[in-house]
Amino acid sequence: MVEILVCLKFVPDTTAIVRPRPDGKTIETAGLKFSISPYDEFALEEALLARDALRSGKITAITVGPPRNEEGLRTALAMGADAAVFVKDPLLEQAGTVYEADILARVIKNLKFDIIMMGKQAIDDDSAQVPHYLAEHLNLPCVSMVRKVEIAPDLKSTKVTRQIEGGEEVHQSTLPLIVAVGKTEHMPRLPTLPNIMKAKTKPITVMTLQQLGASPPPPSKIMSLTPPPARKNVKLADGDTPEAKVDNLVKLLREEAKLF
Amino acid sequence: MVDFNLTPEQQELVKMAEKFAKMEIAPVAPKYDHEGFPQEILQKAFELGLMNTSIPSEFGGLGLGLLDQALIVEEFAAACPGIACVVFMNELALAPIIKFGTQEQKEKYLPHFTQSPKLATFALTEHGAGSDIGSIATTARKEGDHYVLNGTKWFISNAPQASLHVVIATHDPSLKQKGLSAFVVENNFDGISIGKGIEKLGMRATPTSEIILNNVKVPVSNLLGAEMDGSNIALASVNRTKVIVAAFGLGVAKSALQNALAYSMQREQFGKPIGEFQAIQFKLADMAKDLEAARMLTWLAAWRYDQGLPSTKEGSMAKALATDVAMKSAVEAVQVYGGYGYIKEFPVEKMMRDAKVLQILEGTNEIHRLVIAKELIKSIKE
Repeated sequence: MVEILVCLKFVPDTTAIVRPRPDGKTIETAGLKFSISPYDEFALEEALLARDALRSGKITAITVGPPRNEEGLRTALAMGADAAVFVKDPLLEQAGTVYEADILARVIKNLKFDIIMMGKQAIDDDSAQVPHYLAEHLNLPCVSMVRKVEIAPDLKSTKVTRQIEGGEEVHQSTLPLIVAVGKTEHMPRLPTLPNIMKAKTKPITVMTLQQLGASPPPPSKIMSLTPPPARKNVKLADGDTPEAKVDNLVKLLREEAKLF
Repeated sequence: MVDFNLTPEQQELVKMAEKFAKMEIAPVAPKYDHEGFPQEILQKAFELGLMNTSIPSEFGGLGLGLLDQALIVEEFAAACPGIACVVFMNELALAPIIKFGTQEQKEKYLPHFTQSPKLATFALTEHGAGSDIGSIATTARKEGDHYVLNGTKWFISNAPQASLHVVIATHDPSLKQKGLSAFVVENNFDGISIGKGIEKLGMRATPTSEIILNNVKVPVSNLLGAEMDGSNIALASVNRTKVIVAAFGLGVAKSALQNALAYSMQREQFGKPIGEFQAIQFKLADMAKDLEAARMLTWLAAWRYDQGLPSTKEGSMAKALATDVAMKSAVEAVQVYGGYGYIKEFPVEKMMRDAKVLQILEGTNEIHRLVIAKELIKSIKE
C-alpha cells in the first residue's frame, strides 16, 4: 500500500487583496481569505490520482503554521486525503523556509512514506526552497517542476515527468523521493458533498514545536514589506483612423515615454 | 448566547458550492437563460453530490439539514437562480415523500434520485388554483386498488424532464382544502402528458410546463399519508422549502450587491468613480444591510427548523424579507449600472427578471404576511 505525504501551505487566496499592517513587517490577516497554495493543490491532486491508479494507499497531508491552517487541512481531507498532521503554533506565522523545512523534516522522520509531494513553491513568498531543504534534511532525491507522477505498482520506482523550456523531461527514480509539483494537466478536484461529510471522521494529529524538540523563535525575520507601486494611469492612443492612432502612439512614445 | 459560527463542514460546503457556482454555473448562465435546460450542469452537480442532499442516508442521500442546504443554495442562486432551480427543485418535490412516505414508498422511489440525476416535480398549482389550494380541480376517484386522476397542473417547474411527480388532487371539490390528497405519480403511467413549455420573464433555464392527467391510474400504494391529508402534506413541505426560497433571495441579493459595488468603482462620471457619490453609496449601503438582515433571519428560520422548533412564522418572515430584498437590490443594481444595466451584455437585467418570481412562488409574499399575522394573533389568543 503506497504511503504518500503531501506538504501543504495555507496562503492568502489568489483573489484576496493583501495589505501590509502599519508596522510594515507583517500582512494584515484580519478578514483575509486563505486557501491551499495552488501548486500544493496540484500536488495533492496528483497524489490522489496516483493513489487511485494503484487502487489503494494512504495520503497524509502535513502543514506547519498558525491555527487557521486547520481549515486548509480540512479541505485536503474533503478532497480525499486520508489523514493529516498539523504542527500548530501562532509563532509559525512567519517562520521562513529554513525553519519550515526543519520542522517538516522532524515530523516526517517519524512517518512511514514512499513519496513526498508538494508544490514547487508557495505563492505567498515564492521562495521555492522548502522541497530542496527538506531533501537535504532527509537525504532524499528531489525532482522539481514536476507535471506528472506514475508510481510503479511494486512501489520500488517511479516515473516523473518534468516541465522544461519548450518540452518535457522524463525521470526514472527509486523511491522514496521528493517531488516538487508545478502546474499539471489535472485541475484540482472539488470535494464532493459526501467527502466533505466524511472528512469529519478523518484524524488530524496536532503537534507542538516542543513535542518536535524544535526551538521556537523563527531564525529569519522580515525587515519591511511594501505594496507594489500603484499603476500609473493608462493613456490610450486614440484617433479616427488606424493611421491616426499609430501617429498618436508614436507621439506618446516619444514625448511622454521618452523612448527615442 | 448566540453563535454565528458555521461548523467546519458547513464552511467547506460553502467553499465548494461557491467554487462550483463560479466555475461551472456563472460562465454559462447567459447561455442557458437563452437556451433553457442546463443538462451538463445537472450531471456535474449530481456527481459532486449536490442534488438530493436532503434524502436520508439510508436511501443513499446525505440527510443534510435545512441550514446546510440554505448555504449551498445561496451560492448557486448567486450565480444563476434559474440553473439553481433546476438543481434544487427535487428538494421541494421529494420533501413530501421524505416526510410522509411509508418505508416502502421511500425504498421504491428515493434511490432513483441518488443513483442518477433524475428530476421530480411538485404538481400542486393549476390554472385556477395557486395560493388558494382549496380550489384545486384535479380529481382523484377511487376504483378498486387504484385512484383515477384527471385534471391539468400548470406552472410545473422541471416537468418536461421529470420522471416522477407528486400530485395534489381532490376527492371532492366541495370539501375545498379538506378534500385533498397527495399522490406519487410516475411519469410513465398511462394518461400523463406534458403540455407545451411556458415562456417566462426570468428563471429561463428552468423548464416550466403544464402536466395533463387524463384517466391516470395510480395504485393505492402510491397515496402519500392518508386520504384527505393533502393540504397538511403540502403545507408541511412548504414549511421547509420556503426557507430554501429565502436562500435563493439571498443569492440574488448578494450577487446584485457584488456587481453593483464593483461596477460603481469602475464607472466614472464627472471625473470620478460613481461609487464616490453619496447617491450611489446609499444604495450600496442599503443593499448590504438588507442582505445581512435577510441572511440572519433565514439562518434563524433554518436553524429553528433543524432543531425541531416551531418555524412557521420565522420561515415566512425569511421568505418574504429575503425575496423582497432580492427584488429591491436587483432593481437598484440596474439603477447603479444605468443604461448598461438595461442591456443583456451586463448581468444585472437578468437578475432583475429572475428575482421577481421569488416573491411569487412557494406562496406569494402576501400569503406569507398573512401567515405571519395569523401566528402573531394566535400568540395572544391562546
